[in-house]
Amino acid sequence: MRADRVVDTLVELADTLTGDFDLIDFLHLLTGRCVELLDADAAGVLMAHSHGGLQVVASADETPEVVDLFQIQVEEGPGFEAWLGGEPVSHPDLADGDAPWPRLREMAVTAGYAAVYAVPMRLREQNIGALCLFKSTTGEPGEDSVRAAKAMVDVATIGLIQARVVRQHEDLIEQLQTALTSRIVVEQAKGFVAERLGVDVGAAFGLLRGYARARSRRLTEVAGEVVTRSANVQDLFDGGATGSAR
Amino acid sequence: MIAEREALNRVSTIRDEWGENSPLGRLWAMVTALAEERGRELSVEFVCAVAAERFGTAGFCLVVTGTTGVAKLRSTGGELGRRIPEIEATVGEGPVGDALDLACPAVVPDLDAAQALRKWPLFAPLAVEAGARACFGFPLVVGVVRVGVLVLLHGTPIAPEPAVLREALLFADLVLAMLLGEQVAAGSTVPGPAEDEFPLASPAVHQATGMVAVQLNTDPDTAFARLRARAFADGRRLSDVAADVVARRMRFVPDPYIG
Repeated sequence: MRADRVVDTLVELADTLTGDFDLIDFLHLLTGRCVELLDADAAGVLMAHSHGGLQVVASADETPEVVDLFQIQVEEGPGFEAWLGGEPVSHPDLADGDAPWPRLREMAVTAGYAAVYAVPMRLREQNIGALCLFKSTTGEPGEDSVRAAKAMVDVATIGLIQARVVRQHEDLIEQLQTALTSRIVVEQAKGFVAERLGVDVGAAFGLLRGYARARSRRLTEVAGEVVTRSANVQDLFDGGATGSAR
Repeated sequence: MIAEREALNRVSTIRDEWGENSPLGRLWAMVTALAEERGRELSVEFVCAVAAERFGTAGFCLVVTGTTGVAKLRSTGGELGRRIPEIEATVGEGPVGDALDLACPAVVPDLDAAQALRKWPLFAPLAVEAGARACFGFPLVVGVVRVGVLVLLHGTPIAPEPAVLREALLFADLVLAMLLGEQVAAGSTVPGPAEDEFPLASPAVHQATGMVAVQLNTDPDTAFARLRARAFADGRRLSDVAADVVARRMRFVPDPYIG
């Protein structure tokens, strides 16, 4: 991991937090950069909702097998514990039978991951979520990687506060609630596109994101139009979809 | 009919499974005990009234939207609870429309403040005249699926503590769960939520909603209802049925009679 690349990325991410950016798209970009730069092969963000539980809001890889590794952490895992305790949590060897979180461990090992760590997302003394990272090799993450992950999580928190759809709300709880609803709309659109175009939901996310990006539109807005069959996005299904499937 | 009874039994088990550990489970236990204590039926209306009581509100209104998208006033409390939706319907702006359109909470701590006037130039002064000073509109939505809005009204300006706001959101989620349960158990007397894991944490549930909307060539509201009805009828977890749909082990086909 090169420190100057991390700094460049933090600047790049901060630069995108202007005007009409989309929170879900932004967090997707952020998790992608985590995989590129940090000691990590999978990255996801979990945020808290009003029920006192967690919800997945972003994953660098949107295939269900990978998203499930974060999804299960609404109940158990380092992401869950980092959020509850407000401190980083890690495990260097998921194949070790004595490691905690049996269900997560089994899924992670099956998916090819060997170690995990998570850093809490905090704002105004409240724990609001966690960034969780999986590695395909065993061992604790490097100290610089953990430090960079903390910087990433701070940028993610700023993103939450800055997002246009949530900016009008002064209260953090409302901001979180709005962000989580956005994510659900994106999930519904993933299913819609997957069925219409006969692709899997991971590829559907790539198509949606590519389509929104190519038109400089907000991902959540496009997702809402897709599910409600707006004529605005009809060209997505006429072979007009462009963009990479990542 | 036996299958239906089994499904109903399952609903009550599911509610028990929420347990004391989840905030929603605790809230459910609280309103259940309260309904028993007062000899009242545990209904959506009762839960709204309890919420209004807890927050010391001067009134509330619950608006539900059918699959047709038409908003209907389902329940009100207090004079304000009746007046506010009337005013909103007259001027065409206000907390119900905002919460539904924007799918985010419409929280206005002081309706007489400049900010409220900018937000609702027509609605705010009339609401103040009617005796309202603060309003909290909570959308009852699941992604693009709009179920309704719960609006709590205060006669004095109020800036709620985060803990209070969190509890209000929990009440809104309980009402949402109960309304969804009613849709599924239409015709039966099941008042409670039929969801296995509220707040619908599994992404597969939402992905499946989008897929079923395409399969049935229908809107997401109907697709979501059909998905839940299927889980309910089969006595399975909603997330399991959804996973089958996403993995393409299960497809929905348009009903030749209902369409």
